[in-house]
Amino acid sequence: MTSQTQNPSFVIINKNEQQNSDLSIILHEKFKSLNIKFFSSLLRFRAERENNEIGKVFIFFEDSFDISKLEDRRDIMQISSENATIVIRKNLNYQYTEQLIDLGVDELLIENQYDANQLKQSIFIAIARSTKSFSDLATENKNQFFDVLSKHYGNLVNTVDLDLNFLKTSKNTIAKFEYDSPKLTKPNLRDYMHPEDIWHLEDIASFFDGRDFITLQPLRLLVAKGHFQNFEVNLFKSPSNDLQYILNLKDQSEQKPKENFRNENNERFTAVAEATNSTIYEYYVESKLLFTANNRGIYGLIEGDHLESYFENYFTKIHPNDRDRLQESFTESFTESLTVNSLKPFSNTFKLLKPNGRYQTILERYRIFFKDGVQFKRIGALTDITEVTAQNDLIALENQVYELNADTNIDFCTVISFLEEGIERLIPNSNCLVLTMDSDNEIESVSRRDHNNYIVSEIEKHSLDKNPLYDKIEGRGTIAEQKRWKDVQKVTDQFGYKYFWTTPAINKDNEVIANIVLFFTEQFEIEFIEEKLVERAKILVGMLVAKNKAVTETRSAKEQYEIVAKATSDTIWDWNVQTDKFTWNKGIHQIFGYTPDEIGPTSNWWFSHVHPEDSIRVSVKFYNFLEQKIDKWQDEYRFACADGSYKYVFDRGFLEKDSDGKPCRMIGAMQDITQQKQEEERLKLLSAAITQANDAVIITETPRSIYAVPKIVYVNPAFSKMTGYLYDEVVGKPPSIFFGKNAMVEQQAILSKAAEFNKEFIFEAINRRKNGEEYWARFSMIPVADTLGDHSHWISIQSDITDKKEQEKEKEQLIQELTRNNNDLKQFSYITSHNLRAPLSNLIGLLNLIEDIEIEDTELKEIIEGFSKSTHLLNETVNDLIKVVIIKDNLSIDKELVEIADVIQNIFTQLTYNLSQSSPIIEIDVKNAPLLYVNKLYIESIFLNLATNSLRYCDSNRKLEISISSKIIGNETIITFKDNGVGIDLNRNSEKLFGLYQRFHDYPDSKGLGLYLVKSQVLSMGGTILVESELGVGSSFILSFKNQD
Amino acid sequence: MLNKVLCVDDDAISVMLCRKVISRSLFAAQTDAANNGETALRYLENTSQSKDSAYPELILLDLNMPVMNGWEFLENYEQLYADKCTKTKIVVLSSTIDPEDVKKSKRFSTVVDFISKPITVDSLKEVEIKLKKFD
Repeated sequence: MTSQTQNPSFVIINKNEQQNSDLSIILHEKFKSLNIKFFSSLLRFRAERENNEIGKVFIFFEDSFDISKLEDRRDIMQISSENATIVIRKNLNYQYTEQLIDLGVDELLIENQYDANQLKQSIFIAIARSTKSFSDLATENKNQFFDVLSKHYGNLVNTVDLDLNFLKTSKNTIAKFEYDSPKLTKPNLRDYMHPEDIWHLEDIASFFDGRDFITLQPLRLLVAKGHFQNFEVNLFKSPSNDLQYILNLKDQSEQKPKENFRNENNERFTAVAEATNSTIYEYYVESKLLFTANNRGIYGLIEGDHLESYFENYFTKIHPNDRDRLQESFTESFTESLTVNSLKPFSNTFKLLKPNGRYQTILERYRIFFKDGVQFKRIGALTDITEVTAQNDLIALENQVYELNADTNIDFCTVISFLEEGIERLIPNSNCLVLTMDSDNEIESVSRRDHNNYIVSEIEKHSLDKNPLYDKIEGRGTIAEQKRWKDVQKVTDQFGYKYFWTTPAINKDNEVIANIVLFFTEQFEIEFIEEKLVERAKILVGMLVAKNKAVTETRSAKEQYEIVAKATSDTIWDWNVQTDKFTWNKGIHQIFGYTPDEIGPTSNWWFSHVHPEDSIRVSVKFYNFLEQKIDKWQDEYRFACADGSYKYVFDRGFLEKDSDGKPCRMIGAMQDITQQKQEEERLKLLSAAITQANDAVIITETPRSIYAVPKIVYVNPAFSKMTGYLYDEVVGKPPSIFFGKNAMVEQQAILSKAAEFNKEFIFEAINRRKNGEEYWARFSMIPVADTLGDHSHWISIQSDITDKKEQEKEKEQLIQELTRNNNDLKQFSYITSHNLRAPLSNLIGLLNLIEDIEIEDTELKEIIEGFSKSTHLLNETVNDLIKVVIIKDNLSIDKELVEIADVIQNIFTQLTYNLSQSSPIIEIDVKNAPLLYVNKLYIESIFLNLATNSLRYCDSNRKLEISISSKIIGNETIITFKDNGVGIDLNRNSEKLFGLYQRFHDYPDSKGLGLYLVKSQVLSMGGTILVESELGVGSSFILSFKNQD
Repeated sequence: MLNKVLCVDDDAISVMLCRKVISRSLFAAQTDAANNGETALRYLENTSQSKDSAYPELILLDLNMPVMNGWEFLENYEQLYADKCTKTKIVVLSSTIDPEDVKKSKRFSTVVDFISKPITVDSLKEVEIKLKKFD
């Protein structure tokens, strides 16, 4: 700004009046009260004086000048008509643009000028085309004008040839583009251009297209500072020289004064920055230029870089958790500074990614500057507060852990888990596992986090001396490269952990009591602050473990106290040894049921109530104790109750001695342990049942976490016998080691469902003994729930069913064989029956033919009759046999409702001839149950057989009586078929009665097939048949068939 | 009385019995014979090509035969001749007493009856009654 104050209040340039009259008036602020009339008359004067020679009049009006107040606009018009260029320094309203054109102005160049960050002036350059134009000034080489113009308004005026080689260059141009050279070092404008922009200047001549000048903007030119700036490039045709252009460059990003100002500012920034340990930046929104001072390793921030590219990556470098918040904050700060207070400072904290993959915490404080309501630039300071933040976070974490630990309701594991999560938060990409070593020097995960428990359960499996977790020094490295981590690698691989960092906590006895294990999936570089964090965490864990131990010990002491307290609430006795006075507290009544008058006053009463089986043992022990004068006595025995039953008691006595050391008083507490005893007995029996059982019993503990592996907690001897695994070999191990793997996988889904519904689950599977032998096992998996109802254990009972399975297999084979044989036989019998039937039917047919032929030879006739009889008998036998075959083959037969009366009618029709021979008395009573649900053909065959039997085996001494009756009993229909025939000796024949080829009478035409067929048919219909019979009295066949449903 | 009966049976005695019983009972004027299903089909084919001869009105069909049994014949017959020989009826004449066979024979629409061997005058009478029913 100081450079401006040196300017004259107004300047009239009129260097060479003979040739040209150039008038430039600059009105300084202090003349703002200047009468405009005076001013315009001055103009007029100049115009008149110079007559038509005036080429240019530059009028620079100051700020407050309002063109609307220009009283005599004709003045301007006048000047304009005389080929003047009017430069009006003013925030000119565009409405006047039109008027200016009316006045004869051809072109308006509007240039906003900024001072520092505020709009100072708008310059309208109105150009009226004329023979003597603005460009002529350049050819005149009257550089004062250029100097003024360029110095104050940033225009760099030069002349170039048609190929843009510099001809004449202004000092400002040289100053702008050259660092330390009196002239331009590059011959051509293109040499200064950004390579990407050169194409704009390819065919300049065609751009003019009849015009006098062209404006190209914005093009990037390399300036002395070594970076590109945007310039508006104006090329004017030179009226006097066709071989050159006037080149006017307007710096778009900054003007000279501003640059100075900025430089000064920069110096200040740097000074401030150095003092504050912060990186200061200045960011120009329009040019997207960034200037920094004292860059303290804020990653990716490069001085002079186009921030555009930086900001493009900016958000990807910001920690994902911070992005949204930051974006929001920018928007807010923008709106706020626009509407409320442009100088309000803002600040943000965010995490920025460094090339090593870690984040640094950045505090950004900035202000936003506006120009014309547009964000113009931002000045800010960036401070790396990583360490401070981490320190604060660490302290906060420590405080939280202390706070949690102080709360008695929160258990140790929860505190540790919280710490683990806190460490993971503070060390990005880490997975923290805090282990403690218990009193047995065994590793314990105290985490509540499933994956950690899982890892520890795996680590536990490996022997201790090799375990790197017992190292007393910190360890870091790649898991795969460490031999001792090899065993664990399988586990860590599952989580993708590749690197470890262990930090042991050591107590004053130089024992490792805990270890903070950090796993990383990516290569990591531990930062100072992180080392510090883990160091502090180590101390914290040590403190927590020590405290936890103390708490645990206190708790057990408390429990002991409670036991004692409980004991005293039991039955108390007080014995005065000298006087033998023996008193009881109310327990003797409450627990044993004695009323006060039932209780004897001496020790005798006590002894007399000890169970006879226990009394000798008890008294021997007791008197020994008295003699040895030991302080404490205790015994277990049965003590009689008032109702005569006995209770198990646990009795403890304390002996008091007088000053001579003689026992004087003894106080005892009797505890009723009947229930425990009974429980013990019961458990003994139960355990005996399990131990003695032939079935293998395995009890498995179900882990709370899905990552953890179930553990076997018990196996019985039968298990060892069955599988070959000893108790110690399997207890504590996962059941997968002996369960057939395939079996388990297959059943897994069903098992978990069974667990869910708390249901027993049975399956059979092939299992493997320790010696590799396979056997069939039947598993009964019984889920057991804990008191909360959560599934906690599996009881698995396993029986070796290999033999059974083999038997089943044999059975199956046998059945197959039998089925095959049976089929063969069936086929055979079909063929046989057919082959028998065919010639037999021929025989019968032939005999039928013979019947019609008169045979005179009596002997032949006799022979043929015998032949005929035998043939028919053979035919019946064959038919019966075939029927049997068919019945046996048809296991399911069609049933229908059949009227018994119809059946009887049918068979009587068939038997008409036989009936007419013996004309029996027939009684039929089927009214009560007229229907049968049977196969019609079969029932007819059955009735026919029975009737034939009755007819055949009638007693010749009396007239045959046949009665058929039916009734319904339950869902069955009973048919009784009774005759008064010869009867059957059931004592002799009952078993053979329905057998094949059993004949009980020596009758010529009996085949021994009938009852066999009857029975077969009855059975095939699902019915039963009974026989009642007495020799010489008659027979009753009782058939029963199921009714239709 | 029928004009022509075709007896399909491989058993010569059975055929002889048929002839005798048929002639005795005056059941048909002519009894032709074929010794299995294939021969029977050929017989029918010849008949269809000859101008003079007519199809038999009745075919007595045995089931168990070599080369082509009764069932196979029935399947072929139903495909080839059922439409042409509208007046021809088939009666199964078999020594089988398996009810399954009776059931099976009912599946063929051309089969009008199932009689057990031996053929008798009485059984032919029953067939006659059945045939009349169908006419």
